[in-house]
Amino acid sequence: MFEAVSRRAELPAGRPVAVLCAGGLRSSTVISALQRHGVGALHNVTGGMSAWVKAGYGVTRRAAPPSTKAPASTGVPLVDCRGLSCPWPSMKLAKAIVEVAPGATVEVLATDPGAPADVETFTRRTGHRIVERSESGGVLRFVVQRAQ
Amino acid sequence: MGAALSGQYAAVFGRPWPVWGAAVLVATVNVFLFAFDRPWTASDGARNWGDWVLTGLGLAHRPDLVAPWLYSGSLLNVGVLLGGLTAALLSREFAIRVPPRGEAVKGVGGGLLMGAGAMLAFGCNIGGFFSAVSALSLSGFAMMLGLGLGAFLGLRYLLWELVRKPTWSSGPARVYAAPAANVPSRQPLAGVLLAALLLATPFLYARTGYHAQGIFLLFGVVFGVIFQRSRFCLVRAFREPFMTGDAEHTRAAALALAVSVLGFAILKFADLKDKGDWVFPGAGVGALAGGTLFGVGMTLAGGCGAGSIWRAGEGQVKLWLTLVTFALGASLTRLALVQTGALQKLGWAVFLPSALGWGASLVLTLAILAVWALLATWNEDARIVSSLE
Repeated sequence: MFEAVSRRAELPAGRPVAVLCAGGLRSSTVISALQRHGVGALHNVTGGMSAWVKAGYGVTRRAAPPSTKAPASTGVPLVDCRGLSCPWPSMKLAKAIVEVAPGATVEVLATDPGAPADVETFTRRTGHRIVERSESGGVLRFVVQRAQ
Repeated sequence: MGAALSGQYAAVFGRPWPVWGAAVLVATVNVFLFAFDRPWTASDGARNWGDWVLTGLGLAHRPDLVAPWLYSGSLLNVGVLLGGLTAALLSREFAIRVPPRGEAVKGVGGGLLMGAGAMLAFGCNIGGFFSAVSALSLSGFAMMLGLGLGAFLGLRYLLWELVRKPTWSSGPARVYAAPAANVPSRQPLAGVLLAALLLATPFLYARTGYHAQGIFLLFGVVFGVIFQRSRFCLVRAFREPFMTGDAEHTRAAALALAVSVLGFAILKFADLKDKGDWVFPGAGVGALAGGTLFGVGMTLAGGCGAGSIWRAGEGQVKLWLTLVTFALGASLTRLALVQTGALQKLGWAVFLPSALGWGASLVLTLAILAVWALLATWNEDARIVSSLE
């Protein structure tokens, strides 16, 4: 949002501008912020990209760069344990996993080197399954599938 | 040759060490340390740091204070910290991990409770519990009860926070100096250099006329490396049965205590060590209340007396904060206990063999440890007290 405000001079003058995000909420806050800075003729794309996808139109995605930031919403609930120490990864995972359907997955991000032991112990005890794990720039990532 | 070397390197620094093996190693090294001079404790060194800071600020008067770079307890702690750092570097696990604000608050509060609890119980979970039980001091068993209760209460709090105050454990976190992806990390090289420097410290200390100091530091380094590589954890030993129900660390802790008890008993029975060594006048309200406070504190902090130090070494900023308040809390609590005269009213100093005889004391102690491990193991399948399933 701040980037949009600071780069407002790059907007084409005298032409209508449509602002687009994933769902329509962030674009509306960007519009309010730009309007406070005197930018006019702004249109919000209600529903955003998710409405576009829902309506059956195609999209092309850029390959995700390796990043320490949380991946943008992919529909998989994110259990963010970055910066948290033991026992938070297993506690937050325990809370999140029962909120998805059996067989569905949640994604855990953690920075504590003890997190693998935490997640492994929890899944061994509960029957859920670690289906994917990776590490990048000090952030550990697990995808855990809820038991059927 | 190169393949064999990298294979061994991966076995030691690429994969975690078995927890039970680490437990036996810790216990054995602790017996060696007692034979050398004194058993391990973390709170004694932490209090030394706190005293040193308060004296420097003119807030306390301790003419008998030994400087942290010469005091055995302090050097053991510094060793554990640097050992945790060395092991983390060698296994590419070092990174400065800055916690969200709510998590930092728990680190600070946990440290204060740990400092106060450790002074009431005459030691943290290492000195007041692990080494005290090993020395057959009744106070160690009283603290064990307190630690169990405290870990239970601390976990109840965390579960409440998880459901009722989810924002207190979320927020922006930062990671610095982590190994970058797809680039060979320089961390192992730094680890090798640090290890070489640490191995040289006994010789450097000896040149200035201090012969034991560097050896205390190395003992600490050994503890730090074993703990970092295995993540053997006494918080987990007390907390996990109430959480996921997993009893691996509880069994490992009981095994470590059994080894350490036998080692200490041999040293005392053979008159190589004084019978009264590490027998504290805390059997009573001191060890029970102190253990409970300490148990709550270590659960909030996510690291016990030892765990806070080696986790600080691997770059967890939350535990840096815990260490600061642990040291200051210990120092201030001890000062208050001395000035109010409460220090003499915390309990009795009971050396079990003086009351029950050697045979009965050892049988009873080993039986208590076996029952602890068995109860936790039974609960693994029975799932009576575990809450996260």
